[in-house]
Amino acid sequence: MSLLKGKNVLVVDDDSDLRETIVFDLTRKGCNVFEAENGTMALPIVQSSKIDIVISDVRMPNGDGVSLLKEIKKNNARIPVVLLATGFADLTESEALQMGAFCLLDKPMDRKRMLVLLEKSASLL
Amino acid sequence: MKKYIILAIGGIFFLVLLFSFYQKSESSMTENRQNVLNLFLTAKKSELTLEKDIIKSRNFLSLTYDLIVEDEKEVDQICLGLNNPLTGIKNINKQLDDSINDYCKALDKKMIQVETFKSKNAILKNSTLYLQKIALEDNYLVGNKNLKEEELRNQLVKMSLAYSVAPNNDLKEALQKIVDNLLLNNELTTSNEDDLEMIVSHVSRILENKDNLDVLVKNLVSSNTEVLLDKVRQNYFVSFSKSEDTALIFKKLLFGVCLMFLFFTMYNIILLWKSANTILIANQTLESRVIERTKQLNESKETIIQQQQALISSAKMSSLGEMAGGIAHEINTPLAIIGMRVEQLEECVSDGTVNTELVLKTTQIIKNTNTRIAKIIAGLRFFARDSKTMPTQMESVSKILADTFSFCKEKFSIHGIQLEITKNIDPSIEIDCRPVEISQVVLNLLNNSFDAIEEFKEKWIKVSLTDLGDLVEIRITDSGQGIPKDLQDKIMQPFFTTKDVGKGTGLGLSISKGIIESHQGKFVLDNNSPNTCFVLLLPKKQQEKSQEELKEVS
Repeated sequence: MSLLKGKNVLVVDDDSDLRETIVFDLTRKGCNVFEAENGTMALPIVQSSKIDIVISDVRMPNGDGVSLLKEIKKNNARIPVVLLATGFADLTESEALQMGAFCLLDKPMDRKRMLVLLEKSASLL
Repeated sequence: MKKYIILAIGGIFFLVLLFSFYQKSESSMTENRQNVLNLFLTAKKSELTLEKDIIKSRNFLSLTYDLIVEDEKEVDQICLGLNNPLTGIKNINKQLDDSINDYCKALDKKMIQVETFKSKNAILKNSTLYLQKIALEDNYLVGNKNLKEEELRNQLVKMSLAYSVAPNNDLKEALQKIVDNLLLNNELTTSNEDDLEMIVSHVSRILENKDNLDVLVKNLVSSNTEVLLDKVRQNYFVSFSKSEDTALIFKKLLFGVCLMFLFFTMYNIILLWKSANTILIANQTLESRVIERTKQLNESKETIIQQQQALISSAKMSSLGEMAGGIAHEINTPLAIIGMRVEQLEECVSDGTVNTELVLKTTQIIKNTNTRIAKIIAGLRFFARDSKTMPTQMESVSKILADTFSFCKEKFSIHGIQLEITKNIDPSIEIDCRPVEISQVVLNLLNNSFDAIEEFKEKWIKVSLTDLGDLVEIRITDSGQGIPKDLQDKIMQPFFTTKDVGKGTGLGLSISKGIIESHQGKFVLDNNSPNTCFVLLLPKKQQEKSQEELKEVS
């Protein structure tokens, strides 16, 4: 049984194809998946929909992942946030962890590792 | 007994006598005493008066002494006061003595002068007397005619001597008259050359009036040989030339000046010649130096060109590096999609949930993502190739702009910069160009704007496209306040940059300008815009280049 089952997971990325790909896996794990194009759109969903876990891209127009992370940590510090970066001087893992991120994954990310980490984050809830 | 009686009587008598004497002497003694007493009293009296007098006179003396002391003091003061004028008087005295001495010396000198003057006067008197004598003698001779040759000569010599020492003009005139008369009344006939010479010289000294000399010459002509005449003439000329001495001096002076001028010009010519030589030598060395320098310059030019090319490529690389993050993101995201999709398909196959729909959907997504990556790579291809040799091609401007924005929109949106493109860009507007290069120019301008407005509150960049018939105008305006006037001329120069060290190469705008100009277009800064605005004017069709130009380009 997956720990992710029944959890409200928000996927934030400006790339709809990637979003869809991640959503495919999360749906198979039994999550209630929410989607957002950018940080600005994601924030009201976090506040209104009792989101358990957030997966967010770092580079996005109109509200990037880092500011989204900061906002979440301000109000809902317990929600684990998984950040996705491209590894080109966006953000280092230690910086992300300092800011309160659960983990930082570089694109193209290892799918299995990502799923393991999501399970782990669900176990801490 | 009688004897005794006589003796006794004699004794008694004697005693009486003695007594009477005693009586007498005693009375006289008292008298004397009284006299002495009186005398003493008077003496005492006079002593008292004397004492009084002495006291009086003492007082008087002391008074007078005081007066004398006061007077002495006054005198001393007066003496002190007198000292200064005294020294002044002494000085004046000294000066007077000196001047008197000087005057005496001057007087002595004057005296000596007077003495000499006197002696001279005496000599003069003597000579005057002598001259008068001679004059008198000569007066006697005035009427004399047909004097002997020798006598005449002697007379003339005398006259000339007298003339030379004559103290005044009257005497000189008199002497001249005498000589005139002598010459008029006597014929000068001589065959002795020396004598004649002497006579002529003497006479000529007197006869400054040349008429008289002419007469003499006439007389001589009538009486002497031609040779002698020549001699006389020569002398005549000599005497005549005396009057022209000043002229001669001037001539000499003129000659001297001419000579100096000549020397000067010669010196100058020598100098000129020398300098010409040095100039020649300098020219030769200069030529060789110029050749050398040109060589060096050519070498350095080559190195500069090499460095420029290196810089240009590095400028390209730096702008590429700025985009690297964006590109990485662009590629890594589709890569993630493909990788994940493949894994998902594998999982579905292994757990038996696979169906045709899923497979087709997944493969479709993978295909799409693949083309996305290919597109990005195609965009990057531009930077890898030296685009100058590429032929121009018709390309939609909107496509070029869209391609360019795809490289950087990521970067702009992250930094909150609004990138606005005029809506309704007609995709059918095409220009004949090398799209990569135009894209590079637009990208460069966008990056410049980015650097300029990054820290501003108001952050926007507007890109507009206008169809002007044969031309197309692309305007790139940002929220900056324009470029300062003093920098406007410089910004297009190569290597000029206002960016921090290491951030800009200073080549961006110059390369951009070069690219637009190679497209026969114009690259200008719009000064009328309140914001920073660059304008690209590009022709829709490139005019055909000659073969030579193409070769040059290649």
